[in-house]
Amino acid sequence: MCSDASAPNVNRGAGPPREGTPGQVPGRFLRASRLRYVLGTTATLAFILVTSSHGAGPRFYPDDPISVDHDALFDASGAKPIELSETFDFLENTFGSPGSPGNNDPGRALNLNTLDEVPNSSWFTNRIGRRPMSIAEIVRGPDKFERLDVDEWLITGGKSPGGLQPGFRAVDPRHPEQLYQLEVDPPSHPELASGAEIIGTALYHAMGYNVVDVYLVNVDPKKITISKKATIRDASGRRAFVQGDRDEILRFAARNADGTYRMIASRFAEGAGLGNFKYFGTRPDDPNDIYPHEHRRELRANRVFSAWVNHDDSRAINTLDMLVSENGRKYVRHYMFDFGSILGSATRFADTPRSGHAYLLERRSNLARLLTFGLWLQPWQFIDYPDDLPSAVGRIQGDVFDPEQWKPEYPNQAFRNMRPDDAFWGARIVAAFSDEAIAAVVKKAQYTDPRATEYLTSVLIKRRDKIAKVWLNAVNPVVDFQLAPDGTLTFENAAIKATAATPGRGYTLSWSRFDNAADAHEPIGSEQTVSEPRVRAPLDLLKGSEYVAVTVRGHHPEHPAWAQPVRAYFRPEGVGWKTVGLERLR
Amino acid sequence: MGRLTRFAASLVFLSVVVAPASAQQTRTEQIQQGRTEKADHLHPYQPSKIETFLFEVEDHLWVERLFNPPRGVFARVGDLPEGAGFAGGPAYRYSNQTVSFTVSTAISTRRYWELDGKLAFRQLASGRAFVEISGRRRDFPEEDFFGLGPESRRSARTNYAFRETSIDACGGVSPTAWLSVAGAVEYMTPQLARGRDRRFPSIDRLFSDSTAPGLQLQPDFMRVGARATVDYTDRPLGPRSGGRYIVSYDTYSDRDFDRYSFGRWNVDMQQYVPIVRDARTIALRAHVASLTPNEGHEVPFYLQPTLGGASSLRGLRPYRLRDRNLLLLQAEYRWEVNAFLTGAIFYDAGTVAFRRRDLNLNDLTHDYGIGLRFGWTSGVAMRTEVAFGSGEGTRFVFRFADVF
Repeated sequence: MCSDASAPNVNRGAGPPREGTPGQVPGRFLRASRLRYVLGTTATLAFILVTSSHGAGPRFYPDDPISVDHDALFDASGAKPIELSETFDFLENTFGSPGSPGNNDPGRALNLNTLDEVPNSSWFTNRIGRRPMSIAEIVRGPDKFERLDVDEWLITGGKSPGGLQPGFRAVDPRHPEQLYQLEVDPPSHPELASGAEIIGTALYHAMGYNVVDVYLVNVDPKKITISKKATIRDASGRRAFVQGDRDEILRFAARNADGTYRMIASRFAEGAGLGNFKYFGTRPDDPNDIYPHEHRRELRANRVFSAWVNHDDSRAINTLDMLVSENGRKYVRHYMFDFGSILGSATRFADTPRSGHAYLLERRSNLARLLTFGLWLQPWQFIDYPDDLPSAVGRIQGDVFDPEQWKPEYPNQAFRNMRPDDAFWGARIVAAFSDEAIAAVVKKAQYTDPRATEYLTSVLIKRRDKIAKVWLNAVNPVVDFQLAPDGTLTFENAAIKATAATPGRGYTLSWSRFDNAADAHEPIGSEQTVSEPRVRAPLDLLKGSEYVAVTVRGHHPEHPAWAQPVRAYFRPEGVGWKTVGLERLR
Repeated sequence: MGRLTRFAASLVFLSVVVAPASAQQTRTEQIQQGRTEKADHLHPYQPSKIETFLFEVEDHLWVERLFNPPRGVFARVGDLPEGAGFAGGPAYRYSNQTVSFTVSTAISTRRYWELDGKLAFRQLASGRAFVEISGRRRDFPEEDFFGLGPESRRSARTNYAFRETSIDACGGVSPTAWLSVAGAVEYMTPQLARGRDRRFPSIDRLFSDSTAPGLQLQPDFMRVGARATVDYTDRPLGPRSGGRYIVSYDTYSDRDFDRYSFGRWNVDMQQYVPIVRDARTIALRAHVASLTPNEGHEVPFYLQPTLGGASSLRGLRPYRLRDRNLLLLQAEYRWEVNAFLTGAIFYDAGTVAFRRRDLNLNDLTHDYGIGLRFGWTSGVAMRTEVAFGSGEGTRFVFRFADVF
């Protein structure tokens, strides 16, 4: 759709090559794409104008702030599977700049409500930090069942080619319609990938993403049989899946002392597979997908979450689109999946020291390393990782973790577009995980050696705290404005609440009456300076105002970004005031 | 649609989108308006030809299918001696989890060819043991020979044709992950003929049976050997740390003339020392080969160890030095440039000698150089190097395999 001007409300530069590029060599392809990205950027900027509160039309509609983006209303039954090339995705993102150019201000994320929040959608459901979540709910994640017993299950086939973890597909004969994929851990690193998968699934679910159910299971080879219809596809084509295939998979598996195998059972998601989504552009066959992915906040801020758990494999190939039915209508639900290579795991072995610190290819640092015969080293190459930990723990640490410097395996356009306000949004979610919740999620991985549980828990807590300290203070962290009927304004400081900052030197507030139709402010009264996030609004302002606004600046010697103005809007509702807007001004 | 047309359409689109925004009564209506308009212009995702091609290659495992499939016809590339030129040919394999049968041929641009067949049982004793039976017919028409000993002259370059039919059986066990032992028996029927490389004289023009033992008569040989390998490297290909030590002993029995029987020791030691973890590695190798003829016997020149070429003394031509005993020392400083590229500075030193006691560190031929290796964690896929200092000019190396 990046080259197709007929589709409305989408970024023309956000898609991969389409018409006009077939058969071109990569260099030419990239130049052609660049042109389209320039054209597309124009459309994107216009879209921002239209959808942001500064564009044409009123700043606030009667239904603002929306809590749900109803992106399942239009029938998407015509959507077809998108088959992405892993290699092309790497090349496109490494050597190209798909979507909006990364070196300019990408603008505010587009899928936000007027409170600067992400409404629930087919992409994201607000969970931790936005509503109470018990530790049990966080730990359970998306799982439909308490536990899974795979005795007497039936192997129905091999995994699709690709992927690093050996495994097979299987069903419970009592519910043959529900397919699972079972994958093993490598013998040299028992529990490494499976533990990462369990932890990542629970965390990403609590953050708000759609993820598939994942269960830890013990597979007894004697109690699992192979369907006569089972097949497997290899380089020579499709053939029958035989016992030798199962044995070959188990030969490369970590074996328990009792002869069973610890495996991950991933429940296939509901609906029909539509392939992967990219971190830029939109699906041209999905009418509901109108926000270029690089401008979706939950995808931009996934950089924060990925940094937290070192999800360096956060790329298109580890996403999933499913066509699901609801009330006779079909829509696309978007998933994150495959967390087996987070937390320093490279699935079959521990990550390289580069993981999370550098892209696979980087022009300047690679050239410097080449020309200096490797004598030029980057700080991450000196990081010491504990060498006395069980092999279930990958190469991850929290002591010298720098959230701002974290990188995935190769550039990700949504990550490139992440602005401080996106990072702040993500950091609030990360900060919402308590020590106890993190410990409980890590415990769910059932590491045999308690040192693995303790270490990963402590690393996640350290990395959470660093994320909170960096990104909760990267903007003015005032949130949750409330204007009481008596004119008392209260708000919170997310950085202080997360103990990521000490109380500063107070706040300066200025009030205005806001004309929604004209999009104009009329200042009322003089500035107020307070030390606590509580103040009385000028009484003459509140009388007869359709909208009132307050602009707040914080003051903290260590955090200059607190001085950035944040403006909250209120509208009369019933006997009181409803918070309808929040802007982080720059 | 042309670019200008698309740009114009974009402008039209913008005017359409901007204009009606204020006409909406709610935020939800405003958002859904965008979806309404998009719903009228849906089309399937259309990947470029490049993306489609790459997807097909990945999804159908074309690289594995073409060059190393579990079953069916495939292409064999290379795997002939250095100097044979580019080689390739058809091959066929059938394999399942326990047995693999492969037959392949390769013909090179320099008219080398080989027909090879192998039957392998790989997963015996739960994967800890294997047995292989193989046979081959090979014809290498222009193998280089410069004479024996460290003093052989570069100007004495000759060539000979080497033909052989052989059949062998080997088996081994790996009692632990780091230790394996194997034994082999092989029947060989080497034959020599005049070299076909017209640029250089045939071997019989400059050498005789006294200066090139085995030149006149080539018996059949029975080889019986054993090998032990200790390997605690961190990865099988392109290791960054650990060591790999191989010791083998083979006896070659002359089956026709009772004149060319001998025994051969091989010791190959590799050590990998990481410096700043994966960033830099010192790779060291010491290789010693020693052939001892039976009392009153000779060692045929064509079975003697050689130095020179892409895997040993890179500053020398392949097979440049040859004798009964060989010493090779190699050191490489390898530094990772990125995940796909590694640089290397290397130093090679080695010599050959008639007597084992003449192998010493004083009279080594040496070279040094620099190179780049392209690959991935699975090892070196291609390397290119330039070697200097051997006294025989600058040599360029381009190979699809690691040096050691």
